Amino acid sequence: MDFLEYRDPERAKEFQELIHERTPDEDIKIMHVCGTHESSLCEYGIRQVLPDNISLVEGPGCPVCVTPVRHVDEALKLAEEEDVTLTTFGDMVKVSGSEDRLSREKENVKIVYSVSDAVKLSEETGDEVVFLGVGFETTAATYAPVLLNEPENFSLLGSVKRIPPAMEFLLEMEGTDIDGFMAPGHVATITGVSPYRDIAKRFDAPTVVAGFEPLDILGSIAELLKIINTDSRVENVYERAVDEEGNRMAQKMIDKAFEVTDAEWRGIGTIPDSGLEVKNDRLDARKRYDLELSVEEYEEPEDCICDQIILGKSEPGECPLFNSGECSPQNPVGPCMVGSEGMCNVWYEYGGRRDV
Amino acid sequence: MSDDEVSLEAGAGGLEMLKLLKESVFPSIDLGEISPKIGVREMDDGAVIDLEGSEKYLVFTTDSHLVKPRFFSGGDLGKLAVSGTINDLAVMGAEPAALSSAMVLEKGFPRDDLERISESMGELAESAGVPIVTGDTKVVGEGDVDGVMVNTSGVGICEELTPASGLNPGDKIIVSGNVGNHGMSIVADREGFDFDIESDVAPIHRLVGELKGVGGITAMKDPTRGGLAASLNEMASASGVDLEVEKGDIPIDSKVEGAGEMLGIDPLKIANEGKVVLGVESSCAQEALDALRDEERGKNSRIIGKCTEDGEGRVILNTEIGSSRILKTPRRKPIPRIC
Repeated sequence: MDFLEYRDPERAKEFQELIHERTPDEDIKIMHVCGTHESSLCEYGIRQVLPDNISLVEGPGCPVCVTPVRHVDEALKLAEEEDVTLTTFGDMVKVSGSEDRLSREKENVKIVYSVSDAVKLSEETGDEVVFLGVGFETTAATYAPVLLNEPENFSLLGSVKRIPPAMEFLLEMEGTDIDGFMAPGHVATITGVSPYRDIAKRFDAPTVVAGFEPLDILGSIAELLKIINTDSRVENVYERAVDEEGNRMAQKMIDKAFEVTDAEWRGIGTIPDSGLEVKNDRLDARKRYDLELSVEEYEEPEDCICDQIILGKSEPGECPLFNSGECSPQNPVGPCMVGSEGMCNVWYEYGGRRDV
Repeated sequence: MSDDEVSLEAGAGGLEMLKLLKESVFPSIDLGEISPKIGVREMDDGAVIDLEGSEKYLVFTTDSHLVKPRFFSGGDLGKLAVSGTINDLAVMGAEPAALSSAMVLEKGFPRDDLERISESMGELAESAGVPIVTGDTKVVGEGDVDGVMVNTSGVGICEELTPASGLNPGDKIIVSGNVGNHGMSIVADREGFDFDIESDVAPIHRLVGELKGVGGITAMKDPTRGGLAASLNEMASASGVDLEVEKGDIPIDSKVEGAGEMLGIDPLKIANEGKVVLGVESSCAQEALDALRDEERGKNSRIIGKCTEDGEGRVILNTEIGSSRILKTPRRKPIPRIC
């Protein structure tokens, strides 16, 4: 594994020069939708080396952040009222439901690193295990084979979403002013490049499929600037991992295990066709346990501007709660701070400012 | 968890712990009249006590160890307990003199494991030349402790202190070798990954001794919990200086780097148990580096940065691609990434 190739300072400089050459006079806004991209941007100080009139924003790319509060309430209800072991990714444990957090229910709530660990637990203990399954296509690809195996005493409390419909939604929305997209490389290894071609064509939204090393990102930005304002195309700059069709086997498994539904994204609202629901009722925790939750509209606290941040209209430095320290990873107020891939959470980790 | 109870977070060594100590512990143990040269509030690697009638100081430190797995690649709980305390004394500038070892054992703890741990401790103490001279043993009921907890305390004598707060603008920062090995090997063992990474657990008091001959050493820490990032931040803020560090100059094993990429864990933010990070006057930096490199345990030493100016304790990392960003103290336990 030689990462150094993708971090070479000489080539980084070349890309930077290319970016400066290709940047037009007017403001350009590029959106990405991936927490890992945001981490890379901050880790390598990428925004610092870009021209001032290019802004790079994170859209709804943090799976934990866009999980509706109601799903946490559902998980809590199951943990409290049913004889189950509720398994979850560690990150979800910090998310507040409307009244409580999973972390407070210690007895039958277990943190696991993958859905396979959860299934293994159900096999080893014979207990009924429910897995709170958040994530996008990349993670759905890990859930599908597990579900298709039809495990006995296991079910999924699903909160799985699809990225391309969210991108479409953002492009249709007034005021987001997105000039181009940097599409997430990991998701694209599953979906392939074709979903992005369709969106780019319909919305005139140039898109590059980008990897996560600094040269991947700089190279992608340089490529995006080349195709912005020319014609709407999609370029795959992550060819070492992504091809046109994607992972057909994974796609087939996802199709078999899930059906497409509308889904609620915290901070945004309902996005059509953006969710994946478990087909097999026996493996869908909501059906298996007849889960009915009276849904009260959850309101984010006043002063919280996550809904602006998640749409790429504001950045963390513009939030009064972020700046005062009132909202922090230890005490997250809104969704952008809650998950480790949220823009506010990542910015906080790297010092809280765009520039040093 | 309500504020009435101690949370698990508070044991992680970060902000939660500081809050707990400041609110529930320090106010009662504030010594008032009797003030050591360096005490609990400084939260350095050890305490420093003036020795009446002498130019020297007594350095005193303590640590409790519960690491799991107890036997890991490159070491075990016993080695860690002895090494950790010797190193805390050494980085304060002291010549370690003696250790204590207090154990709390759970009923049912395997005698074999106890003997393995004791053997490790004895062997290491012997080869390090720092004897375990006193101790205590308790056995508690099942479930009252998880297997075994070992506390080691140590004392040493010091002529020239090298506290965390000693950095000055212009000082160079040196790290004595590859970082992240211990932390990554523990995560790997715990999670069942085979990355072929060994803990670096080892006493470094003799390595530090070599530096004494050079002079100009202003500050030292052993970058244990929280890793190099935590130590750099602690030294910078205790000393009231800003630091600038070159990411490309920090020595990291490619295996550790690779494991870190896969798991989403930063090698700069996880524990080392056989390393030292130090500040040295610029004019002595090359000599200090050479002295370290002459020793087996210091052979990968590098100058990684410098103290730029008086400041609030910011640590700025210059990245491989020519930009800069802030390196903060890690605020939570490193766990493998989800997505």
